[in-house]
Amino acid sequence: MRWEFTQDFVKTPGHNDSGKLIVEVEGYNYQPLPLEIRGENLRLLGMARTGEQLRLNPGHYAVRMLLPNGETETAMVAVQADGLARHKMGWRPTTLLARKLKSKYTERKPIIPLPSAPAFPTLELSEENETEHADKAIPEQATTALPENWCARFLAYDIDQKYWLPAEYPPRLELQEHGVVGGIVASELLVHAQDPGLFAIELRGRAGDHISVALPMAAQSDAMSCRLTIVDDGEAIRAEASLLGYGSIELVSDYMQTGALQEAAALMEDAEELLWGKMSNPIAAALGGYALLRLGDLERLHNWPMNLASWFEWLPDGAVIAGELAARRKDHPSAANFMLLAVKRGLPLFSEGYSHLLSRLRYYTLYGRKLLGQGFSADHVEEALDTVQQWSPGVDLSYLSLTLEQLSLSGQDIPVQGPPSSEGWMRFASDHSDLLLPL
Amino acid sequence: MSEVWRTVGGEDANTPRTHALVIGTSHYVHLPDTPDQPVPDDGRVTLGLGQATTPATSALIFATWLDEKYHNPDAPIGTIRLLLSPSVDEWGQVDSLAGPDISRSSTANVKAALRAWKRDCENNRDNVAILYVAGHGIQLTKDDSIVLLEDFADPNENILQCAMDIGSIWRGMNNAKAAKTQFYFVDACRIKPDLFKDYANNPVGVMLDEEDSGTITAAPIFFSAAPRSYALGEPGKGTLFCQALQDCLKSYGVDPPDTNNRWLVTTSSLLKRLPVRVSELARKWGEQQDAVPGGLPVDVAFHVLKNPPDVPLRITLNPAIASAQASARLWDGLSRRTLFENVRFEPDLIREVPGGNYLLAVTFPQNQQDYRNLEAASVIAFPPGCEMEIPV
Repeated sequence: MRWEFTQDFVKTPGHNDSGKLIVEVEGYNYQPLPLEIRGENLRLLGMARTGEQLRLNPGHYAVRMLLPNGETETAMVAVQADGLARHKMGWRPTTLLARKLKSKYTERKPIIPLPSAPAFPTLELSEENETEHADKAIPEQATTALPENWCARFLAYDIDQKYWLPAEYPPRLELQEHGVVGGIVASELLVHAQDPGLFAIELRGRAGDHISVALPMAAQSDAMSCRLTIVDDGEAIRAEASLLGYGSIELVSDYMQTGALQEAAALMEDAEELLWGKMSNPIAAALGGYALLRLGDLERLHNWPMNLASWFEWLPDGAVIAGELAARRKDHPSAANFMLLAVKRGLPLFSEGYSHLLSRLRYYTLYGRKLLGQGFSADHVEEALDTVQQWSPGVDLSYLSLTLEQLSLSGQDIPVQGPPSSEGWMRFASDHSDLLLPL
Repeated sequence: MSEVWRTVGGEDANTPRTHALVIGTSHYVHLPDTPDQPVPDDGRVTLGLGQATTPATSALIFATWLDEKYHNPDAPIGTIRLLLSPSVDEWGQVDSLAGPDISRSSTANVKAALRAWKRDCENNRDNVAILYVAGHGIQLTKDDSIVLLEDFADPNENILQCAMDIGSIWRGMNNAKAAKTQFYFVDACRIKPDLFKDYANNPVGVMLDEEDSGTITAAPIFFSAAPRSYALGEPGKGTLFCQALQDCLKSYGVDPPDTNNRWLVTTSSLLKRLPVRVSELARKWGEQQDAVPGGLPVDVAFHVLKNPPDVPLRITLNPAIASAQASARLWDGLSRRTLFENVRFEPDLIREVPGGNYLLAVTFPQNQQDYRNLEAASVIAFPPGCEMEIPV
């Protein structure tokens, strides 16, 4: 709703004596962030972006910055006639790792009181301790060893064999940060693709539990690397993969993860552009495509999902987006074909893609005869549905990247105790010199 | 039965109205009290479930909120259909669960109510449709989920005969006559996925014919599943999802004034704040619970507040030791109305104030020379809360 009422403060002149305002973010001027411009009575006047030179009538304004971590910063600023005011908003972007340690797996000091919960176990951090630790949680230099009982292996999808197999040329891991707060261990790593194709990492935590994460990266593109954040509280290991790349790609990824779909879509440059050029980014294009699908903005999708589907033959998400777009346009035979193509390519990188794929296959299993006509093969659709649905019990839809809990993509059973014995498993090295060593 | 629990405004189809269907199932006729109790050897499949504890309370709380607080000037409440099957414990906790005009959430009742609700919604394209369903359930995708009804596990029926297919209903409501704006809330006590996987594609009893015509403007689905088959939460307060939703509707999920100066709960504000609040509440119980949005979450207004929401305010002085002798005054700079004065820091100043733009003064005793008085600092109180640290 807010974006529909955008007043263009950059081009629209105010009164003759209008002043200028530039809102900047202290220590973060790489990418413009969405900004609400409000009157002194707080009524919304319109939307703008940080870094833009805004023309406003003299007076006081409330500016509210919508941050990629889901929080907001608000300030009052004064604009003088014919003057240029620069206002710096304070925001120190925290790493995903720090945010995880601070918010999702530990208790924050809530500003709204929470009900008491005496009968259930709580995390070992007290609020005071947590607050104290969280601000200091991530040291500049890693001082604590990675848990030696963390294990990992990379899997690559083999389109011919239709199996996830241990990667022949596994991606390279690079440790960015590591922290321990109250028994919760967290690491942030970069994963660099070495080989084209679809990759996932399987991780085994300190308690012997298991998680698989699709890696949103593509060799020979602007999406050569992705960020992987691992958090292990001793009971469960959790991991989250997010996008890296030029421009606003990381912001779009962060906004989508925090439910700020409007902000993600508004920041995204023409997603079609991400497919062109020397260093295209099919991963970011796919993410943008999912945002537009979710918002029902089919016009902005044009027909480029067909290109995404046909140019990147290893990427299931392109076929899913093209299929979902075709279905929304009532071209169900094309939609079904794209969905079947996606299943041949493996599993989508994003949970949005898995969700669309499974929903459409369920839908065509029920209504295929009516919607798909004579050429429709019920067996093909049902077989594809079975293939996709086998992962359903493990899929955690709350993550941006496809994440499976307690299921191995290899189809192998997960040993309950002891180190995993199947092919490709490595252990994390405690001295950080070489992150993964053979078991 | 498809009697309505509340009807407001008559049958005038020219006036857009909001029509709500609210269903909460805690008591399951064919399930044992707890999952570990034996069940009769009559072929019933229970999916390892026992009775739920709070979904009926949650549904009643939401329906009561709709009845008493929901405010949408473009489509005021028209009808609320409420179907509840409370647990034994809930009968003792919440008096109004026993209302004579409340139907039980049996499959037959829900089917009838669903059809009647759909017809009401289709009276006017500017109507708003709201569906809230609470009970044992499972999310299959961001758009598809299944919620079990009171007579689930009837040995004489197919396994999902007594269940609702939310995705099918969502798609069935997307037709040429449908209300253009719809909201879906699915509040589930989670069925274990590994026990459910063999039945995921079985026919479901309560569905709608799917047209999926793509004519609606917005139809977000907010789904949350408690990590246990029984819901967490205090007696009488409903599930954590219900509590989180209530918090969001009251203040936590309210957006600051729009271009028409209205404080709103919107699709966008719920997308951002509801999952955060659900997680916050669950962490307090030592659990992890997420709320996953799906459907068509285009940004539209859900609820227009009649007054600014109460916003928690926390003001800290730096250095903290200064707070021992400081007192504060907060006033509205435009109307000059004083909200509080001579209030001491203990050691933070914590108050709830109506959302708005204020000025704050902090003063120290005249014989206290260590700290400077603060004449007027800007305080902008927006939900979910305003925290400030003031150097003195």
